[in-house]
This record gives sequence, structure tokens and C-alpha cells, in this order.
Amino acid sequence: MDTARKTWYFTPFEGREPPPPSGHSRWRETLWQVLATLSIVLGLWYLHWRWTESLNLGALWFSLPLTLAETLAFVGLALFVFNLWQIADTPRRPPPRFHSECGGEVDRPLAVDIFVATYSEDPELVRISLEAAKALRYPHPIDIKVHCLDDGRRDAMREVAEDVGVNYVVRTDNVGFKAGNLRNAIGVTSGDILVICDADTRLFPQFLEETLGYFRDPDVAWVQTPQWFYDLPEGERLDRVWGRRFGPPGKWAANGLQALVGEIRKGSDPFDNGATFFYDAIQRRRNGANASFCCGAGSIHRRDAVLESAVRAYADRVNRRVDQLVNEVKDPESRQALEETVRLQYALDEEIVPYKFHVSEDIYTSIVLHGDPERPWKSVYHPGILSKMLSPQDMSSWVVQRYKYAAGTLDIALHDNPLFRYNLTASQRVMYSATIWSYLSSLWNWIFIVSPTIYLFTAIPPVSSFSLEFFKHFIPFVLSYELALVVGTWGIPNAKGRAFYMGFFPYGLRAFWTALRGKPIRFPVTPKERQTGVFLSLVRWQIALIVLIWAGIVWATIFIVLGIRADVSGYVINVLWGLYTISLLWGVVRAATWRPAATEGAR
Amino acid sequence: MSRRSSGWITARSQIAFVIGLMIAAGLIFWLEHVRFTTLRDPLGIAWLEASDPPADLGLADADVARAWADHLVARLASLDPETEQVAALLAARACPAVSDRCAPLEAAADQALESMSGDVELPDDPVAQALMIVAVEAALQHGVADAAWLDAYRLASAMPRPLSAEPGLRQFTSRAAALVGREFPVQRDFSDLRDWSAP
Repeated sequence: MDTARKTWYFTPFEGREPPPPSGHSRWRETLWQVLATLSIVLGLWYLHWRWTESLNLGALWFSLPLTLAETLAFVGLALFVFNLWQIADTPRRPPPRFHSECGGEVDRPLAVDIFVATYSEDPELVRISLEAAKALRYPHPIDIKVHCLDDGRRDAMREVAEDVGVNYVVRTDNVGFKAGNLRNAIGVTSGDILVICDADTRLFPQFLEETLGYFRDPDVAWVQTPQWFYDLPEGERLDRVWGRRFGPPGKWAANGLQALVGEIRKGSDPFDNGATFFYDAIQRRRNGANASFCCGAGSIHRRDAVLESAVRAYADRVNRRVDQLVNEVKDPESRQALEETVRLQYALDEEIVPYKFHVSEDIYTSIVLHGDPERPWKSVYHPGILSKMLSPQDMSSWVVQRYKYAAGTLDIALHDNPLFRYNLTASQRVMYSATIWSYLSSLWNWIFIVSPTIYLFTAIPPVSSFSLEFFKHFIPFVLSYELALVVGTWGIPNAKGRAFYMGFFPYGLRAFWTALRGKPIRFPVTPKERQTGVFLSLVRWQIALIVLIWAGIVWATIFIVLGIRADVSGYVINVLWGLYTISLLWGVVRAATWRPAATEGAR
Repeated sequence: MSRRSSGWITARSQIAFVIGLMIAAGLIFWLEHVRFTTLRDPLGIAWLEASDPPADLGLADADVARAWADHLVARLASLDPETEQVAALLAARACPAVSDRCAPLEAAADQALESMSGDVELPDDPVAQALMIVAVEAALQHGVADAAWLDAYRLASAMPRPLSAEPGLRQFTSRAAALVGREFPVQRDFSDLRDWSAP
């Protein structure tokens, strides 16, 4: 089929250019560090006051959980600040000509395997990715092989692979899903470098040219590039929207606001899939601490690192099983005889698993490689966008994806915690802790959401007083933190990220419960491709809370107006708090009802 | 820090960290000691402080003590209605909690309470009633645990509500709340001071 003539929903977006990475101003970074330190210290001061002077001793059932939630959230904030502390990009190096320049022993061209993993995607969609991989350029002779890894074992996919002229790889089962697919591919290929692509990952021609230079450092195990979802709705600038609605005053107001906090676009990316904040801020600033982790698609791996680590993990598993058995035998001779016998058996039983069969195999593999006691590997985050891919543009896909991220990461935290295992540096432990902590936040975020409702209905304050003392401690902390964040992440939008961070709590709690029980990480909805429709059932908790908060506001307002209650300052604070919470939850609810514009066509 | 991640925190960022610490320390110091207008006089005692009370009424020169007492009397006399006088007296009792300069008032209040601690009864005088409440609250707030105080407090808690309906008593409750650093949480023991019927 002629690909160029097929119209996809993303066809209108083909001309989009990727945004450059955010600029790095040393003075702005220094100002961010000053403000961040200020906010952390003020936060500690605020928490000290909360625990020592502001607890409502008559309502500890309310004030204690909220203060605890504030404290736990503050820990997350401190970890977040550490994560964002500074940019330290790895210096670019010229692309190597020979394998020997990357730690090899022979002066031969590099061999690169491009893995495009697919299962059920439209073969014509995969064709575009395969053709992009075929079009990679490199300034020196290089041996590039593109492999279509089809876990769906489809004839149509085979025909497309043959048509494009790439290797077609299948296996007899689907064990391990994507990780199993990649492991199988490693077994039947031999390149020095592996590039991981999803079915919709379209590499730019300069992909290898710009990234293979990092492998001149023999300790570099993998390079992660940003994932750019180019099919997201771009929305409309705020000054245009307000200018249309309110005329010149609206336009001026919008321009003023944007001058303060950066560009604001209405109607863009309802699911916060842009991931700019994650890649350009979080991942990029972990690079200096050698703690950026692999995210799958768009990553480049050194085969030696993958296999070395896998062999070491294999040997550890065999030794652990042998030790468990022989340690029960007291007699040394018998123990030695048993050990010799069972070691071979266990060695045959166990498998060498280059990619752990885990729902979060990417971050898991990163932890294992970073913390390898024999050979602690390095990672590199390359800030420039070198590929483009499609986003999960519906609520069910979004929920499944985020739920699996959360449950997978929490599963690692609860059962293989990097804080207590592996040979990680202190900075790496803090960075991984920041990731884990962010997924634990659902355990306390719901307290922030329900607190204003409790106050509005009962007039029981969680603090001793919503008085000047409260404002004196709270406002400097919050203001300094918000200001720090604006400066520190200048030009990187994250408003939607906050909404989804708070609104994610029902799925986060469910993920935690699943991981805690060690249950398989599954979700009842399993979308195969873009879904259309309204997914209100997925956001029922958010809707219920919005209704509850509104009811609380109405209830308290009636009591205040009738003069039955006189707690005006507490009322005002909690109404504002409730409205802010509603705005966050509403972002999630609105995403559940979002439908792509009719002009975008259908996949 | 190992070679794998050494040196990523630059000297410039460490200096920024120290500057941030210093600014934070200065800001906290200022906030802890700042005397906002409302903080300066949360109990309405500025006029008392301004009257320059003697350090110890018992040891003060008689003329000085009398002059100060006259000043108080004149001030109270200028207040109308009576509930405003109540509020002013309460402020006088509360004053020592926030200002050492009002220490002499504390002794006087203690003396008044001591006279009641033997056979504790609810005094008829609304001024004495209110004074007792605030004195007991202050005592509880400062960790005084004594059966006599508690009895007085219990009686004070049972004080009839009409007293708190007066405008001056709203001021009183506000000041009493400020004294103990609370804003009438429902479940605190002094919640009975709340005036639900106030317009």
C-alpha cells in the first residue's frame, strides 16, 4: 500500500518541528537554587510550627493526618528540589568511526541493531517506523540492521517488513510481553549497540550521529533521548483566546500573565502527555548525578552492558538457590557434594534474562545497571529530541499507562528497594527515591483533597487557628516555593502535570494496594489503540469529590450568611482551598470527556 | 560521592545554597520577631503598655502606683457600655502573657483568683466572671495543673450564655482566643466561649 496516500489522524501534524531543549542560564539556575533553598528552610520552619504550635489538640483525628500529609509531601518536595537542582548535560562527542573507540578491541565499523517491537498495531503504521529506521545516516561506515519484532506473528506484518527490507523476527510464545520480545531479539542478533523502538517510534535521520559519541566512554551503558509526542493538540495561545472573548483588555491581561509565567495555551494536550516536564526538567537534571533512567522507546544500549548485567543477575540467582539449599546441611563433605550436584542443575534451570519481565522493566534495568557492584554503569540523557511517536490520546489509555507506571515502580520499591539494595551512589539513591516517593504521594494527596470539605461541613479546623500566625508561617513557604519553581523551570509548562498529579490519587491508591499485596499488575481496561468516547466511569471519584466540595462550600456559605457561624477567615481559606482542588480535579474530569477534533480524522 | 556522580554539584550551586540558607535564616528571624500592628496589640493592651505601669505595684512608689491606678480608672470610666469595661479588664489580665511590662497585672489577677479558690463559686459580677475565665485559660495554657484552677474553670464553663451576647464580650472572646492562640476550634475545651448567636 502506498503509505503516503493513506490518511492517518496524525497526518496533519507531520509538518511539526520538535521544540528545542530548554535554555540553560547559569544566573537563572543560581537564582532557582537560592529560592529553592529558601523555600526548603521556610518549609522546615512551617512544619516545626505545625507540629509544635498549631495542632488542634481537640481534633487530632483531623489535624494529625493533615500535618502528617504535609510532612510527607514536604519530603517529596525536598526530593523534587534535589532532582531539579541543576542541569549538567554530558558533553557531546563526535560519532565514533570504529568499535575500538567505544571500548572494543578491533578496528571495525560499529554494528547497530534497531529493534522495532510490535504486537497488534496496524502494519502500515509500523511500516512508517521501519522506513524511518532504514533512513538513518552516519558519517562513517556503519553496519545498521533494522529488526521488526512481531509478537503478533502476522503475515501482513511480515509482508511489510519484507517490503521495506528489514529483518522480521518472531518467537513461538509471548512470554514476558515486550521485555520477552526484546530478550528474544537479543538472542538472534549480534550488534554492538541496540536501539529500542516502539511500533510508532520514528527515528530522525541524525539519531545515531548525535548519540553514538557518548559510547566513547566505555562505562556508558545506555543513552536515553526525549520522547516527543507530536500528535498532541497544540491549543491556542491565551492572549488570542482572551482577546477574542474580552477584547484588547483581555489580550493585555493575558500577555501580562504570560510575561510572568511563560506561554499558556488553552485546549492543548488534555492528558498532559507532552512529557516535556518529565524529560526536559526531571530526566535532564538527573543526568549530572548519573541517575537518568531508561524509558524504553528512543533509548540506545550497549549490548555488553545488557548482557553483562544479565549474566551477573543469573549467577546471583543460581548462587542464592544453591546457598539456600546447602546451608541446611551441617556436614562439610556432604554439603560440598550437594553443592556440586545442585549447582549444575540450578544453572540449567535458570535463564539469562537481559530484560527483567517486569511491568516497569525500564526503570528496573536502570537501577540494576547503575547499582551493579562489579561494574557500575553510567547513563546519559541526551536533551535534544531525535524521534517522534504517538501519544495515548484517550482517558482509558492514559489511565492504563499511568497505573502501570505507578504499580510497577511501587512494586520495585516494596520488593526490591533500591535504597537498600544495589551499589548506588548517595545521589542516585536520592534520585530514585524521588521517583518512588512521587508515586507514593497518592497515600497522602487525598487528605489534601478532602480536608477543605471536612472543615466547610463541620467548622472543625485542622490547625489551631487560621490566623495571622498561620499565614505568617504558611505564605512565605508557599510563595518562595512557587517562585522558585517558576524560575527553576522557566519555559517548561507543568500546570496540567500538577492537576494530574493530584487527580491521579484513586489510581495511585489502587496501584499501591496491588503492589503491596504482590498481585499481578493488571487493569480491567486494555485498549489496543486510540479509544473514542466519554470515560466518566474512570473519573467517578474525582467527580464525587468535586460535588462534595461544592456542597461543602454551599453549606458553609449558608451558615455564614445566617450568622450561625462566625469563622470567616477559616471559611475564606477553605473555600479558596476547595476551589483550587476543584480546578485540579476538573482537569482530570475534562480529559475524560475530551474528544479529538473532527478534522483530525481517524486512525 | 563516587566517581560515577562526583562533581555534579558545582561550587556555584553550593554558594547559592549558602546564600539561600542565610536569606531564610534572616527572614525567619524577622518573621519571628516582627511586630505587625495586629500582633503588636492582639489583646487591646497598647494603652496599658503606654501607661507605663510600675514594675511592681507592691514596691512601687505610692504616687507612681496611684497615678497608674488613676490612669486605669480613667480609662475604664471612659468606656461605655459596661461590657467594654469588661473587655478592657480582661485585656489587662491577658496582658502579661504577651508583655513583661504587664507583669504586675498578673499578680493582681492571681490574687483575685486565690480569693475564690477556697470555696469556689461563680461570682455574680460579670467582670469577675470573665476575669476568672481568662485567668484560668491562661493558667491552663501555661501548664498550671491545680484542682482549684480546674474547679474554677469548670464553673466558668457553666457560666450562663447571655453574658457572651454583648458586643463587648465578642471582643472579649476574640481576645481570649488570641491569648491562647486559638480561633475557637469547635472541639477545644474553651469552645463554650464561642458566641454562636452573635450577629
